[in-house]
Amino acid sequence: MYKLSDQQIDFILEDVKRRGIEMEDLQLNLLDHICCILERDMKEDDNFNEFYKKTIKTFFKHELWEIEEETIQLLTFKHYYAMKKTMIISGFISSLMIIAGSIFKLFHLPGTGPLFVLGTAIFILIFLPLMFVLKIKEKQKTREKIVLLIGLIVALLAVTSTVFKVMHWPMADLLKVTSILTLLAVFVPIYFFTGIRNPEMKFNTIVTSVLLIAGGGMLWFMTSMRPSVVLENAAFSSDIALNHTVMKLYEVNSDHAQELLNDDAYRLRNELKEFHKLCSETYAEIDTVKSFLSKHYYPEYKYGYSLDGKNWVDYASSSDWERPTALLFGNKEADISYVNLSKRLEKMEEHEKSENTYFAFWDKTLPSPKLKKIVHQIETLNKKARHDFYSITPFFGPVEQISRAVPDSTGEGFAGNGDWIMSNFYHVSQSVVMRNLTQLQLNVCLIESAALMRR
Amino acid sequence: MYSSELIKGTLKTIVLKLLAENKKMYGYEITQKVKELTGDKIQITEGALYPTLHALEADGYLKTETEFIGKRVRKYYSLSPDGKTLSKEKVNEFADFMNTMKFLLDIKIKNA
Repeated sequence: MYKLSDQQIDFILEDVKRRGIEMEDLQLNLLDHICCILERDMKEDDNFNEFYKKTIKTFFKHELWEIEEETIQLLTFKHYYAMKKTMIISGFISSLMIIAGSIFKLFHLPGTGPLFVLGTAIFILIFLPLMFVLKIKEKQKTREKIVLLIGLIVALLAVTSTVFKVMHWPMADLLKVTSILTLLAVFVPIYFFTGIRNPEMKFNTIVTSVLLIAGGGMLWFMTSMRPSVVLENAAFSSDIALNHTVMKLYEVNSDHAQELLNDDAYRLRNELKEFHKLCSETYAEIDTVKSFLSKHYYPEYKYGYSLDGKNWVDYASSSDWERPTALLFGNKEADISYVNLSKRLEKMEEHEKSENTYFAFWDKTLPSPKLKKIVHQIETLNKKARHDFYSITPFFGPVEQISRAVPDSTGEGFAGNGDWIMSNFYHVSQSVVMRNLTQLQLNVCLIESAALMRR
Repeated sequence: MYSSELIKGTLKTIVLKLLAENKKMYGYEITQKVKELTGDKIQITEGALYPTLHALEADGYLKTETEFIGKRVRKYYSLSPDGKTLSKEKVNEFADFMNTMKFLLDIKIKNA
């Protein structure tokens, strides 16, 4: 029996590696196998190199790495069933969660958001990729694989955009438009021309393509649909009416205050002067915000407005509910108005120390999250006023009712005082934002007139 | 020599049955044993044997132990408890399959 030297064994191992066997286990198995054959069949006077070459050729048809490829294929085939099982279970769980979430939403139960987001996350991150991996194995042609890949992208985009839309996250509309465009302009043509070539698939391809175009087209319609014209006009009319009332009340307050200020005998004249000035300035500040918003929307829009037979939406292009939100909360220009408003309120904070009783009436309905801290200060002031001077409850009833009648930003419940800003100015159409600003002006006037009456 | 398609479908069964009878074996030994038992009629190729052994090991049907032979390592395969069960199942399945094929192809076995 021939005995292989250590150098020969090293040579064989290196050759096995060189021929593309990377799995260590397989390298060692093959090495032992080759050695066994050589030691059995080789004679002392045989040429090792020639004999080795002859032997190794019996191991494969074309290349040695075919063995490794076959091994890997068998190993992944083992995962096939696990993947299929995971896919079915994840699909089942995600659909259950999405259905549960939608039922919760219907009955205004808590937990809608987490259920929906988690359900779709499982769908996007586990179900769809697994389905893709399993399906692509069945496809033979590159073209069919490409169709499947684009289909996956469209599905991912479509589901993601729906989640963003439901959760009111930014970029939702952009995602939706991208997904529908990809579906109609990329996926359907490639799918159609791939399928139509195959005579067996021809009919099915045509039917599915038509269904896809019809479905995608309807989604497209829904995306570019604007909020109800009737509703927008109603909000607009309501703003006009409210604005007239507020302007009247403002005039009455001014006359009343002037009368008191002219009365030399009036004890709190200096305090009233300061208070009246602040009320007027705040009133004007809100006006600034209103004209800032309207300027960005429709230059023709003016105060004392009239529709002139036109629809509000023709002025406002109010299909985009994100625009007022962006202008109010995310825009540097908008901040100018709000910086002014917060400066005004910071001033009021200073008055806390001055013990000017008029400031006690300030309400906590202020239109920016930045002002939350100040809202808290005013709350303290209110408590102080309640305790020290007046019973002001009747004037706060209506204001709180207004804030409670508006759903909060998550859509799950009604806004308490804390969410008042969010629910009245965040993700709300332009006409409603305008109306709510007028409402704030009314609150300012109400507070002033309450103080004037209780002098 | 039988066609490789026929052998491919039965390779798992052959390997499992051999290991059930021989406690532990290494790759080369398996090929030689099959050759010997079948009088050279069935020759298992290395290209089919090792992928099957690795897959069975990954599925937990085979246990392995290594032995150093000079500079090289020899890997011995033996059945795990699951492998023993699978071996019986596979042999029974194949016996049943043979009966069905006999009926299907209308084979008359002369010395039956």
